Amino acid sequence: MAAFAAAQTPDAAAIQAREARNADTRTLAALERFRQALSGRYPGDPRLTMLEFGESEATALVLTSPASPPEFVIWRGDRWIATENRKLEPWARPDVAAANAFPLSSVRAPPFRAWQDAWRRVPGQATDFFMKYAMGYDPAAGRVVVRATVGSMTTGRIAEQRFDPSSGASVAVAAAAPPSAPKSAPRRSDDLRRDVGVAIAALRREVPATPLGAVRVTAHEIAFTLADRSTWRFDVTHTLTPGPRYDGSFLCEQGWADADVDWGTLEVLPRNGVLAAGLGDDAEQHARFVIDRPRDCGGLAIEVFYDNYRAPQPWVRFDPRGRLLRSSQ
Amino acid sequence: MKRLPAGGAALARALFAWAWAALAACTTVAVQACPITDWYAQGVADGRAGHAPDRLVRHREACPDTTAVPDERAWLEGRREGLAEYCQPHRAVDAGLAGRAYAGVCRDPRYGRLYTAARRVHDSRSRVASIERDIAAKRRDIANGSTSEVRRGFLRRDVLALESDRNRARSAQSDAEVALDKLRKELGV
Repeated sequence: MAAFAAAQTPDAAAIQAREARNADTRTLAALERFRQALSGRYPGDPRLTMLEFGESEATALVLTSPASPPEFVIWRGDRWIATENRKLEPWARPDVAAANAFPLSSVRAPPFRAWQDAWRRVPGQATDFFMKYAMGYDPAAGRVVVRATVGSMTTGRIAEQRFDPSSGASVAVAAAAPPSAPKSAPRRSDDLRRDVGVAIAALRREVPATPLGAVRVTAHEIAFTLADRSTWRFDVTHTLTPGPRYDGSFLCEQGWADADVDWGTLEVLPRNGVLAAGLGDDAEQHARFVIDRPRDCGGLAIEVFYDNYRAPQPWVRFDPRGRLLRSSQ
Repeated sequence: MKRLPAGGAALARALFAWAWAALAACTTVAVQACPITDWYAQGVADGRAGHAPDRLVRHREACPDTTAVPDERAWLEGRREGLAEYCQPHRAVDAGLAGRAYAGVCRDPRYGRLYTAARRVHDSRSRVASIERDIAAKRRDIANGSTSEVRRGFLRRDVLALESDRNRARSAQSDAEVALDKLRKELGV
């Protein structure tokens, strides 16, 4: 069945938990393929300043010589792809990141699996969706860590968790967000803008690897157009249904990876957009998002529109990390 | 070593501040200042100056260090406060008459109308002044003993044409001033 519904019964929760584990396995298999591809491209044990991967795509900053900046590479599916209009930045200053570069051999699947197992043992977290993993020198932690972006299937929230890449043990950082509150029973939000993580998790259970093309998020619906022109709709009942094939021309067919977007940042963008465009505070609740690349496959952007205004409707554009680019003001 | 007198020290500080400001003018924020910049205060200052939100992009470019990036929310909140001051309608008249640029940042539609009307006055005054400078220059050429009679003839014709332009420009200036006065009365500014 193509449609996906959020867990409502213990059986459904068990199915979701099993699917989540399958997604973990596929992601770690993708990591292994990326490791092999990197070893083939950079003989020996290359040093990385940053690594980011999910189920469908992996990226890295590879130090090829001490004097030159790291080389940015992207591996999707089973091949290297172009890096134009894409970016991967270390968390620390480039010189600090380079001084703390880690060898590829230190990226091993068992610690990831150990962390996943520990995470899923916590009540209410068995069905969580691990959207991406990023590994690099973290100035706040003062060491190389992995940051996992976790979408909760029960609360709809997206959070970032740190762990040690050598052991899988959680890493606490003073400034880090507190651990999420104990999970309550599954709920259905009346505002899907807070449930993007759940929607992506649902999508990835149905379509594990096809890159995204465009994501449109309103309070009442999340619409996905994938790079292969298939479409999906996630509604307020947390049901994912396939839609008609997109035949329009406004699509970059190279698509983009889930991990390209810092989904957690969506939460703050309506307010930032209101401030940037000089709109009334009430506009925040009317914000909707369009996340896509232009049809010429330029840079990925998050655009926030405010539906309480008539044409010309104000908009504010942010980069995939939620940084302001420009506004219609 | 000879110490600077009190006034000299103040001058040295002013020169240092000027140099710092000149450096900052190129990059919006000196890179050394990025980690210690109060982004809210910077936003207030930018709002008071009427900067558009893409000013933040320039701040980000000035502070590429990932550990000292601008706090966007703080800057935006500060800018909103600064804009509340900048967007006072009477300031639109001052800005327009002074010929300063306006980035369309004020929500109050009165600001844009007043600015446009005042800017029209500024531009028409500038046009009159520019024509008068041209006329004066040509008259100096005419009065110059080394100017040939043929050239004088051309210059006199130019002056006549410019005087006609000036009359039209003065008329436009007068219209613009009347329109501004009328708008100020209409909007109570």
